[in-house]
Amino acid sequence: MENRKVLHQFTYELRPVKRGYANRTLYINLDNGAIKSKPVTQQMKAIFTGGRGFGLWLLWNAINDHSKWYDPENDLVVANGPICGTLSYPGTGKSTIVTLSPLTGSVIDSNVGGMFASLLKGAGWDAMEIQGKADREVIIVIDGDSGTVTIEEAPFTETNSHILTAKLFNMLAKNERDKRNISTLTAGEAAEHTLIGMINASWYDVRRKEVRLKQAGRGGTGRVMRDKKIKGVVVRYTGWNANSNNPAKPELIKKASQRIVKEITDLDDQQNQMRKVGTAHLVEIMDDYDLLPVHNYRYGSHPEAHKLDSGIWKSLFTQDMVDGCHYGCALSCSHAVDGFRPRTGPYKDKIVIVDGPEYETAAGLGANMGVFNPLDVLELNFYCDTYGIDTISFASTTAFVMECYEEGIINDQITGGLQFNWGNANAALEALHQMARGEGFGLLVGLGSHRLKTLFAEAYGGDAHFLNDIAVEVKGLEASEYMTKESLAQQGGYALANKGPQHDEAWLIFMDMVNNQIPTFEDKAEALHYFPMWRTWFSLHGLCKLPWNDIEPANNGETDEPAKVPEHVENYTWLHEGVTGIRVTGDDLIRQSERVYNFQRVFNLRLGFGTRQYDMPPYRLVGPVTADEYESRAERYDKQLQEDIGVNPDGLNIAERIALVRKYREGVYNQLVDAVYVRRGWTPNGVPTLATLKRLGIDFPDVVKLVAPFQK
Amino acid sequence: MVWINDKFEVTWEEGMTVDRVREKLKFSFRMLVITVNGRLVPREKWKNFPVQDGDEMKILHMTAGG
Repeated sequence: MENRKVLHQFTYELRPVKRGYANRTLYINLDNGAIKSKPVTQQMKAIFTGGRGFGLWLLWNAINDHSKWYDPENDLVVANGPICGTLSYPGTGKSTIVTLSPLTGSVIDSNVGGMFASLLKGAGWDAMEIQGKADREVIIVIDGDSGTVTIEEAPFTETNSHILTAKLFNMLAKNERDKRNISTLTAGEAAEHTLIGMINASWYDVRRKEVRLKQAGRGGTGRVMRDKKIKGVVVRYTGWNANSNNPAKPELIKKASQRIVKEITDLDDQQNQMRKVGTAHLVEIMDDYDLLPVHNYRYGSHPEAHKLDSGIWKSLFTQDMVDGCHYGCALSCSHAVDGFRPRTGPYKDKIVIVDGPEYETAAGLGANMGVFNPLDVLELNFYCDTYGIDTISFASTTAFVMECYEEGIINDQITGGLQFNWGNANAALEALHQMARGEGFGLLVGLGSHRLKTLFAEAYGGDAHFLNDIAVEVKGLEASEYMTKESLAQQGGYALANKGPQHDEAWLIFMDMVNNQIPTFEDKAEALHYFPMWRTWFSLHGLCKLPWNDIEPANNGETDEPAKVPEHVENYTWLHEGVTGIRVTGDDLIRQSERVYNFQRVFNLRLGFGTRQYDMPPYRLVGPVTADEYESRAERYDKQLQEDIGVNPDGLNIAERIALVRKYREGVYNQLVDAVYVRRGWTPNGVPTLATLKRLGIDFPDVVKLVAPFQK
Repeated sequence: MVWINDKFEVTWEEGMTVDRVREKLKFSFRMLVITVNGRLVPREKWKNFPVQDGDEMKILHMTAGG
């Protein structure tokens, strides 16, 4: 403990996890140093299940109706979930972080891999909740071996994640092997100065003998962490293993695990090659289907996209090693570039590891910004990670800034001389370094697209309508990296998502645009009920969704509902029963999610959002904004004019064609919204009906009081 | 003409195969289930399986991914 200054200490009784639950949550208040244990009630488990559900419930009770992200009562909650930590099954190591978002002003949930979630449970906690703000820089240490929680003065001046994480591991580990028992949460210098700050979670990579990082990217969680003056959170627990959940029926877990592991072993190579290249395999596929965002989502493909394809990443990622972010994960898709030397910034010429890029990062920092040099993408990826910046929000906001620069809305005077032409990685890197230093135009970029579009209109005379069309954000959150113009269902998947346009709620593009499996509004509405609920379920249990559908049984296509991957749904029912002892059907799993999903919708309402007006996408996600966009796919849009709208495009100029296509597409989007609200049991204004809340058992008095005025 | 997923059409050409249809549509995603006139075509036969003028195909992309 030498060199460690403990400010507050709490001791607690060590006890085993029972059937997936530690049955208590950890409460820490940085205003007064209070630390205590809170019981997990049967009602919490029955209604909120765990993970995101627990996070929302704890936050709901922590804040008031007027709370903002920067208020001390805002909670930073990190939760695991009952199935989390089932090491024999792939993808069981997700933490879900829940807090009030600096970007959206509403509640955000963001998930992350690494070992933090499992070790937190091992240490005795189903969730950790941090309220208040420290009066100095602190770290929090949760020691599940000794049963102590301490708030300590930050022992290091470093804030950037790749340095600080290594130091924290070295400080806490008894030896190299002991590092397996440690995980951390950290942010970075840029998270202090921007609204797009994220949190890194770590694990010790036993093969590289290095600490590695995964990111809870969305919504500004890192800004909240740094606003509370938390440098890092460390959890340690020695000996977490496949049986540490004390599961009710281990044989069911074994059955599911053997089935999925064999499937991965036999089929991954011929399917998505997750073990060789991870999600970055999607770059060339998205390009082929006109789905890769290029130049701020103007276009869906680019002649230089091959420079970012999977072959490039495969050659850069270190191969021939199991590369998972959670011990035991057979899918092991968490790849890294070793021996990378940045050419800019404070770590210029140092040798570093770049964790990733994942698809979203490669597509966003690459094609969407017009950057087609993979080494530039890697450098941007590295600095986003270590500075604590969300790659998706950074990429999408920078792409928006580039379009504004190219269109003459902003100029060198405004950008401080940074030339944001398409593809100028140097300008993007300098903006990142400025974010870390808290200076210059980078600080404006760090506000995110939602605030920038208003600023550019009000301060610099930009056309507000145009800016509103091309700032690709909904609810204040930047969209992730897929083109949705030709998939009405995915427009809904993005814009109807509770937290904002993130693909982890629904990804329906192939079902809709390519397979033509959901042609009617009712079909799409059913998909926009089932899949968001299904995908929510992973966050209730501390699970990664990639083993659900980035690997599939050989005969999946012959099943009745292949998009749902029925055999894997069955696996999850076995896991649920195996861990908790509670037998469930696939429908029961959906019902678990419906409770939490609808509660989150009501939570948005409580914070002044959560109605139809917040479910509207910018037109760039729906159709062509500019003449260039229209003309680049004129055949497609002219065909729609003729076949769907009944207008002969001959004789119409481009502006007239754009206007007609827009009127049509915005009309059908609204028809989709109507259908989805009906399917979800919501009013035409997008508020859950009292009957829906009652059916789900979340008709608490304060909830009913809140939604009652919105029932018309 | 060859019809795909009741949505796309490809001009038929002499000697056309399942793989050629995929190539013309740029359907490069790997997790596919393909039928020709309702008959399942196993992956190992895509390269040589003949497609006739007027055939109706399903090329289902097996992911609700992302």
